[in-house]
Amino acid sequence: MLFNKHIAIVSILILMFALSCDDYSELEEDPVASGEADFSTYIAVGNSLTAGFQSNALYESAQKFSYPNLLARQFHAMEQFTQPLISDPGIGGRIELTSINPLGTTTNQQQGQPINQGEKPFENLGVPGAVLVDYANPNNSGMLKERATDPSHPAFNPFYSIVLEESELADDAPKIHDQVAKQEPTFITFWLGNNDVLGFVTSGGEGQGITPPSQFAQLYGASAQLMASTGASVVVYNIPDVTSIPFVFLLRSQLEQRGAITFNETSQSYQLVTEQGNFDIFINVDGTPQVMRQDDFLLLRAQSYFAQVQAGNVPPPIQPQNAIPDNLVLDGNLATQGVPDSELEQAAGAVAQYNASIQDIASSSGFALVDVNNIFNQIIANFQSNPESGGYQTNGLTLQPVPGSLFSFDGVHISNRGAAVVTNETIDVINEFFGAGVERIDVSDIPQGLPVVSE
Amino acid sequence: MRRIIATVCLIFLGSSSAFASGFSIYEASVRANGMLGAFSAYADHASTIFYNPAGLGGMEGLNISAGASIIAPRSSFRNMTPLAPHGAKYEMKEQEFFVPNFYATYEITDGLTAGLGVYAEFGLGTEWDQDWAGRASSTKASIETITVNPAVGYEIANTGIGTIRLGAGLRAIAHGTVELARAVTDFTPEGSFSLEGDLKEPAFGYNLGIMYSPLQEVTLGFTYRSSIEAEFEGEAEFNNLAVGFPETARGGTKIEFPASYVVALNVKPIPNLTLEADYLWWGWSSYDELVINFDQPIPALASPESPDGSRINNPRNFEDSYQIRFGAEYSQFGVEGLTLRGGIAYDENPIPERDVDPTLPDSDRIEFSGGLTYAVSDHIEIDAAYIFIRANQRKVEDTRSGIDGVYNTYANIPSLGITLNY
Repeated sequence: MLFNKHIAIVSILILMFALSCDDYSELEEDPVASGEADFSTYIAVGNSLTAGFQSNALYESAQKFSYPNLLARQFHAMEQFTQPLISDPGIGGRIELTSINPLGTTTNQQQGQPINQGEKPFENLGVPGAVLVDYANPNNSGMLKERATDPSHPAFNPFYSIVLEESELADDAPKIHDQVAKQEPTFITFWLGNNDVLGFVTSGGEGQGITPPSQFAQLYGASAQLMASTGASVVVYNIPDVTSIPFVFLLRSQLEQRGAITFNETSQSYQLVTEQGNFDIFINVDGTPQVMRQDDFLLLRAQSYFAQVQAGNVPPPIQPQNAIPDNLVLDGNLATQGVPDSELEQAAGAVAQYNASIQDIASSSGFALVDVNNIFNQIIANFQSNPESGGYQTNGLTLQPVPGSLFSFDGVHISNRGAAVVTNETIDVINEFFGAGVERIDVSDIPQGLPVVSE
Repeated sequence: MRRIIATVCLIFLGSSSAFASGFSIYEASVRANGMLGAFSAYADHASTIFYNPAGLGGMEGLNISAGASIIAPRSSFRNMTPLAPHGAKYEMKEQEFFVPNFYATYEITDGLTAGLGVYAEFGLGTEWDQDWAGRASSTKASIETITVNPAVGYEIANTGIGTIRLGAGLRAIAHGTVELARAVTDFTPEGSFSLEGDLKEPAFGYNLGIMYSPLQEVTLGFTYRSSIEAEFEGEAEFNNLAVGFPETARGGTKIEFPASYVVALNVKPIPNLTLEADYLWWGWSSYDELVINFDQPIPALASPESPDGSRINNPRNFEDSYQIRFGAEYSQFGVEGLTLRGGIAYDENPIPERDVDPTLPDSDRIEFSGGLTYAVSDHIEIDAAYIFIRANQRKVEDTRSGIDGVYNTYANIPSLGITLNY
């Protein structure tokens, strides 16, 4: 009798266990409203900014926050969006933080490796270093094949073969468009052209030349035609003004703020502040020493030069024979130089003409345009009028156009959060242009991911 | 008898944390579990020390009750952040928490009874994979506590308007640990932070209760449990964070465990049937922030609120909440010595949408229970109960932690115990 009762009790307990149920619901949400666009096959075309290059390297932790990847997430199309990932610390020589206070950085000499080459073709076709001619490659003019596949070529760029399929590069006259077309995109973002002027700027006008604006317009038109032929919806980005990157504008204003240099209103020249008084600073312009003026910018790379000057290892640039080397300065003396001689004028003029072409071609091709140039200029203006708290306000954050905030440590490429800002600006354009309903990103949710030295 | 107590104490030392609305645990007695905690006007069991110490009044002889619940919560998260693919599913690590309880009462003189309860009234345990989308918010959170609750109750039998019982107790959190861990994603490579703290010193509060029975078949109960502020201290570790962090630091935090009160009605409409309804209020608004103080400046944690980074402040912003609990008990099934119970409860969660995070993916719940007692002899009764908790699917957007998504949570809580009456 007692035994039967026990069986009854145990049975009840077993029954209660059995009644407990499992996770019962699945996440069912309305698909993203895409309006007149179709996000089902999204392909991103571009250069290092599109690839997710940061702090002088292309590495996985930053690639995860490339603006195309963030955009694809907001399209809820992530399972189809792959990128050519490279293990940390990436390829390029990553700039890493060594201390916070005082701020110190170093360059990591180690190189990462491609980790998912088997997943080709990729949807993010951003190639660091790519120039506009690479897309349409008319008449094999940029000789992409040599730059992409011949390590002995002076302009060899390893990223093409990491990003593009081997079969595409095997072509006699390869072009990025062939890869794009093969993947039958329904939606394309296109941000090329920065390197057509940026290489000139970052080398202080000493390296790569500027693509002539007329040629740029031709190449852009050819690229637009090819993209239009795919039937995809297209969003294009214009080119930020060269003075809106910290690589160009930051060091001079930092030195001014620190009181190391000052602008003399009377002589209209920049002067070095020393214990013996203030002396005009000389810069080397094409072999000729000249006094540094309002439109001459010290490139971020000159940081170590000024550190050496301060340490007494390099004579101060207050004598013509000790002028600051040409490749550390973007000179652009508007008043005294003709346009062809001024690096700043050449670059700024080219950018203005590029952007005019981009606007025309986008409009005639029915492409949406993200006016990055205008957005960056506004951010810089806001920041320079109020260096303490100015910048880009979003989601309770104030992002400043400096390394470690909107920009990564190289002063040229946007950071994780900078990419989120570009994503949101793109989303605004997409929603407006295509009548879509893509949700913006909360930029404060995006981790900063500042590279630091490992233990 | 001494051996039994010693054994129970050993079990307590090995006890682990648990999971309930907010981070309270109301499963403090197997018999009460059967009625889903609708027990604050029940009185007739030693665990009344927790549910309403007034119930001690008039309790005769020596009564001992010991038992344990196994709390097995399961949660999943579907991602809506830009940190991972939309809809990606993450499962909270499966954990089972062993939550024991022990009560003893002894009648000192006619109407006056003293007792001692030992139970875990607050606890929490959530753990997620190291690489999951919300790792910057939490990879592990755990709170364990053991409360020791000596109490007395007194019965005033002939008041002319019925029976009144009064009770009071001292609640001492005698053992406690806190563990928090999360990834630090603002740096590449990512690092991690963890804090393992122990209760610095016993933390004290109290409980009070009154029961009023105008008729033998009707009892009204009210009980109040004070809040308890407990301080935890221990080692903070910073892993793989070479810049701006020390390797280790001492860290501490204070947690104010909330006050609560219960209004209860117990009715016996027919012989052998007991019905009870309880309304519980929880003062969760006391848990408005979780502050961690370090013994040194940590430059990488510098913020406007803490310029030297020696303090992290996590807003919690819990709100007061309530629960409604119904229980029934019937003991005339034709099986000698068998009593069956059942219960149903609604449990409102205290966390506003903006402050839901993966340390505690809380949601309003519906709970069901069944239970039984089988009297093996005049002195020995076996108690068993089973609770199933289903939390409503909860979709959170625009959260402070940034971990937006959809949580699904349920829990199974079997429990087993013994009651001895002499």
